[in-house]
Amino acid sequence: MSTKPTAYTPHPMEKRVLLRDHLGVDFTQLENYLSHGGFKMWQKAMELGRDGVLAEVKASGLRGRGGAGFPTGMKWSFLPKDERPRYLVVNADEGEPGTFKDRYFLELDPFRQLEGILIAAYTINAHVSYIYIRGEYWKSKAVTEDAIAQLYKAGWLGKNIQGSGFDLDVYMQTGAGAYICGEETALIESIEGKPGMPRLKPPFPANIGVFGMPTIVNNTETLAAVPVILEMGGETWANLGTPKNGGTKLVGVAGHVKTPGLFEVPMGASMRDVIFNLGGGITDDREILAIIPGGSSCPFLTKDEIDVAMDFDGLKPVGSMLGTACITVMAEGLTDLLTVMQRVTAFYQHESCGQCTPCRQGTGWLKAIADKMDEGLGEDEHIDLLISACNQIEGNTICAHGEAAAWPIRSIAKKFRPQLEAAIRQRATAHGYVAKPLAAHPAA
Amino acid sequence: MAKVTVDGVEVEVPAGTSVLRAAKQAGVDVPVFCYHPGLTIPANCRMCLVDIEKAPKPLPACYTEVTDGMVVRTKSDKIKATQAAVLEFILLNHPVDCPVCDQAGECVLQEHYITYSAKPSRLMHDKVGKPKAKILGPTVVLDAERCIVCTRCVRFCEEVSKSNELTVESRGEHSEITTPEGVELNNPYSLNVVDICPVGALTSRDFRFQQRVWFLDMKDSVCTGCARGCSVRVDSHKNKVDRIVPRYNPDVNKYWMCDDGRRSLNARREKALTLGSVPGPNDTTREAPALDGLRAIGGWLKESHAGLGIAISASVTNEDAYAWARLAKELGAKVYLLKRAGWQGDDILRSADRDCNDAGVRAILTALTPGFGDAAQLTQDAATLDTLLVLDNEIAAEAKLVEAISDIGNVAVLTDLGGKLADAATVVVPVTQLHAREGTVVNVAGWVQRLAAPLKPSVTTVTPTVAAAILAHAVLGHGEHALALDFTEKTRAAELFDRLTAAVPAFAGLSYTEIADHGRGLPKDGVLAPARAHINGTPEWEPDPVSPTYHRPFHLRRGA
Repeated sequence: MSTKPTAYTPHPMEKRVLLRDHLGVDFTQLENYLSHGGFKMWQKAMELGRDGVLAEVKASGLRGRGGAGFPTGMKWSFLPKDERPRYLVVNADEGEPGTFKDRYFLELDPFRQLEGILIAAYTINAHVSYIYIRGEYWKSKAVTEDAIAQLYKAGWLGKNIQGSGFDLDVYMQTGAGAYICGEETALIESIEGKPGMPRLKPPFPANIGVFGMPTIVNNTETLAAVPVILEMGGETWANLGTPKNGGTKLVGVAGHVKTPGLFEVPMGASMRDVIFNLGGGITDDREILAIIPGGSSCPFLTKDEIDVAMDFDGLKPVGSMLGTACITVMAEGLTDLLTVMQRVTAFYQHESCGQCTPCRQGTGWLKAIADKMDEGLGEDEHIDLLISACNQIEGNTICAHGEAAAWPIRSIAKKFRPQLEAAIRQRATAHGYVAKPLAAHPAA
Repeated sequence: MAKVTVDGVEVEVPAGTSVLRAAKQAGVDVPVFCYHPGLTIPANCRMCLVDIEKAPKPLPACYTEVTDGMVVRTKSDKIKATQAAVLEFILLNHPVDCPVCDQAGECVLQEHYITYSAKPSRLMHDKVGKPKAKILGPTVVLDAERCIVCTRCVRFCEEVSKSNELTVESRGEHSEITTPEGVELNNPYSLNVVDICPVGALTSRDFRFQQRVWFLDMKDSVCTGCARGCSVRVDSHKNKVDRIVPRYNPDVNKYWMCDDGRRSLNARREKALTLGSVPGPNDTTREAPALDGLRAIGGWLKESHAGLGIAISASVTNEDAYAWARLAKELGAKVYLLKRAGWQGDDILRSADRDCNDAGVRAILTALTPGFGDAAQLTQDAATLDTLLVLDNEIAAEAKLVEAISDIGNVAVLTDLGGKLADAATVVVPVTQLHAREGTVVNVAGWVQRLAAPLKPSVTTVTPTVAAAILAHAVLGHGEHALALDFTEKTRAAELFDRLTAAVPAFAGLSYTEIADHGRGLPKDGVLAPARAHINGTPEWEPDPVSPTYHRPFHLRRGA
């Protein structure tokens, strides 16, 4: 199962503290991990004690890397102080379209995450941890399971870890391909063996989570950052990024760029720099048509909206969000926005769990409208219908899937109306219908 | 306690109350589909979203608990738009086949659409097709297109019947209620899912296409299928009972009743006797109306009422039992209490005792004719009896009993149903069928409720009370019988009940009018429990499952 990466020199714009595939070392083997300073932070955590580790994580300002950006230290301190068993759940259900950051840890550097799990479990006093991994990541699952087996063999997991008196068992749980299982409460339902349907909140998982017990759900990248934070100290980590957004962030660049890939930059890096320096610029040096900043559930950006800081607050001015920070670039001339919209609506329609009305019916409605447009039967007013339907879904659902479905479509309908109107006409003509003449659009 | 302001009305409710209940108390109706007070709360329909001050998003009123000082708005522009939006989503793939839908007229979706949306459709694509008329089991049919996936039925099968037959299959807009492969919806409570379905997705195979609900005449009554005595509503039209549905009663059956209860009454109606039989010339029998039969019995009794036995079933009303106990006492007859054959009870509603009024009849006989016997005693005594009158044939007629009775010279059975004892009797008197006579019954827990009479009685039948008065008249003579029995042929159930409460200590203090609606408990140690307040929305009286209009059919709007 070992994969030896090729060594290379990363781009000078990068600040690598988490990524280290450029070293050319096979980190899926425990001895390599240990020889590069692995599990030193476990020793340090034992010296710091639970409160010490929690203080470091709080000082680091680490915010959840799953997309919502909730402060990790605060989340850990929300656990009720009672005698019930606690669980640490790792969200490795990387389902957001266009996202491939957690896969690095699961497939190339599994012990980083496992050390983070060990420290986090110790801090919150959990003795069982579940890694919930998406079913399609069969290779990641095999590598991580192999890593867990190596740890059990070497006494880094199980009873009385390295003589510390602390016990931890780690289990891997595979999803069955449902996007919604990345939502933490749906993920918990799925771990319990039920259909992945999000729960009502409150109660929050910190109080009633897996099997009704207090549970902390953290993203893979978040936990992988924990040993690094202990190593460099919370303050240092915090100073890497912008205020309120400490540390570095894994960013992916994909789509119509010259050098797509996974990179690591300090929080607050310019999105334009990420696309043009790390991503190497746009294919054929074309113009940017649209950008998805962090997975398809984020509102789309136009080419004029990419001068923003890539952190959890930086994208608010342009009405979008960082999400998973895995950028998808769509170039002018290579992208048909109606097709993009069809793909996005089809995805969210297919992945709606069907529990609550606005999402169950609304996602299907959005898809049906997009499909009608593609069949050449669209009208300009249907763009308004899309916006109206999106507004009706937003804020009325049990979980955030409704927003995830509504936001990208509404941003396309609002920001790219001329392109959509042109596409509607193009389809009508292609299907042999007589298209209305395109009105002169102020924004066109 | 928490002070909550709902649409400007301030109410004080206990901490932990839902916003929905607080709103109800403030006199504000919040529309719901998935919420049912007898089931857990999924908050999935999103119809009850309300604005709560300081909350960033609208919150479901059914699930959100009140906090002190909470300010709730249910009629803001934002919420009105949300309600219309939810209805638009629900109706998007709904077939809107109201003209052929059984639920039309009592459909929550129709009501809510008229009240909260009434907007034309903006649909431009084909609706999602799903199975129509899918048979889920022996009692229920599903129209998956009409379904709004509120999961009330699924939760009912999980939480109340605990049989887990229903589940939601597939995801998103293809979600569909179904049973797992090889399983059918077949449990003793299955028809409750039809009652709680807010739309016409689940329909009863008995009631389907039988009647438009706005033609139904609805009367509150009691199920006589077993000793539980579930509160029911009898829906009839043109002297025919079309369906029986449970009626909310916190002290007896909550929101539910069993399928056998609904169907036993139907079966009873179909088998009801209108003519009995009397001996004809030359050892023949002829069909005869009630009065002919009573004349024959009167003839026997006038001759002699020594050696008379009267067997009363534990399934007759208190009034009938009282009338016949008085008669037995006056004629010096031996009295026997006969039981129906039991069935498999459960810990949900069904009582193992199938007699709907065992407690009541027993209390009356104890007071008026102490030392009454049972079926075994009757079998033993049969040889010493000259005449036996049996009231109600719905009893466990064991072969031994039938054989013993056949040796008695004069046997008469007064019943609304045929049966083994009636076959062995010399005279059969048809008694007014159950749904055509009023009265009261006492359930297994000592709860007294009133039976209604939604049907017209057949002219060839009499009620057991009238029969008792006629027989007393035959023996004692005109006027005398009224003095002896304290009632006549004209005495109504209400008056008889008041006489009964005076004569039987177990019933002391109850009044016929007070036990209307949901009944009242028998006094314990001579003390009556305080009556419940009939106020919707108070913690004592659960709010209606859906809205005040839910149980009010559309016939109120007919012609409007």
